[in-house]
Amino acid sequence: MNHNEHTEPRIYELGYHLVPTLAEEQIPKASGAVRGMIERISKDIIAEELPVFIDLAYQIVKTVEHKNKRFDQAYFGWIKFDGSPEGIAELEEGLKKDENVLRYLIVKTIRENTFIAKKFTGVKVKEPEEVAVVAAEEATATPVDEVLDKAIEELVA
Amino acid sequence: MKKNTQCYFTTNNVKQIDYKDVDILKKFLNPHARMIAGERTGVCSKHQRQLASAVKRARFMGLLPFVAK
Repeated sequence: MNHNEHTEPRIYELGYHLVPTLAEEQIPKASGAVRGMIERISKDIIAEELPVFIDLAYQIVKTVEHKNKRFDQAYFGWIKFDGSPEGIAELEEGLKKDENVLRYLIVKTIRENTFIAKKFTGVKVKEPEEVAVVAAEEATATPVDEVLDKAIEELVA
Repeated sequence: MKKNTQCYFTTNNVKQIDYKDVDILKKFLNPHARMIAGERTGVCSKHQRQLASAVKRARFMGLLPFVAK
């Protein structure tokens, strides 16, 4: 029996924080760089969530050019992919050199979706929330009675 | 406090506990952000071990605090 052969797929997930000093427009480029590193070592990218702006639970310190920089917020994104252990070592090297990556974590996982809650809920919107206001207005615009009547009619029918 | 008798993760058929599921993980932390014993929450040993790793990963990534208050 060949012990070097692995039949089980090796699924990894990379979670990463990008520094909050980046502007919203620079995020696709920075996350694209991370994705590029993964594409180099992986055959198959299974799932991905683009970085979203979140509040960190505590201050994270990153040393940039012998100076400590402290961050309370960051852009958090993740990518799930199929890879090999050698590739992971290569990826780690790349991530350590990337100045836009505040912190990262690579874990072994399974191919299936592991989320119980539907979406990452720590999301914070950087601009004032216009969408929420519009949604609220729409909600008030539709009369509740009408909806209720329809529901009752459907039940009767 | 009433003890739960059934494991939350087993009943929901969870294969692997995700460290990004912060809202779920928070249910198993006390107000000081310490993990609650599986005996108290009813989580089975298998999932309690997974939960512990998930909480620690979430802490490292700044999604959960190490200490609160």
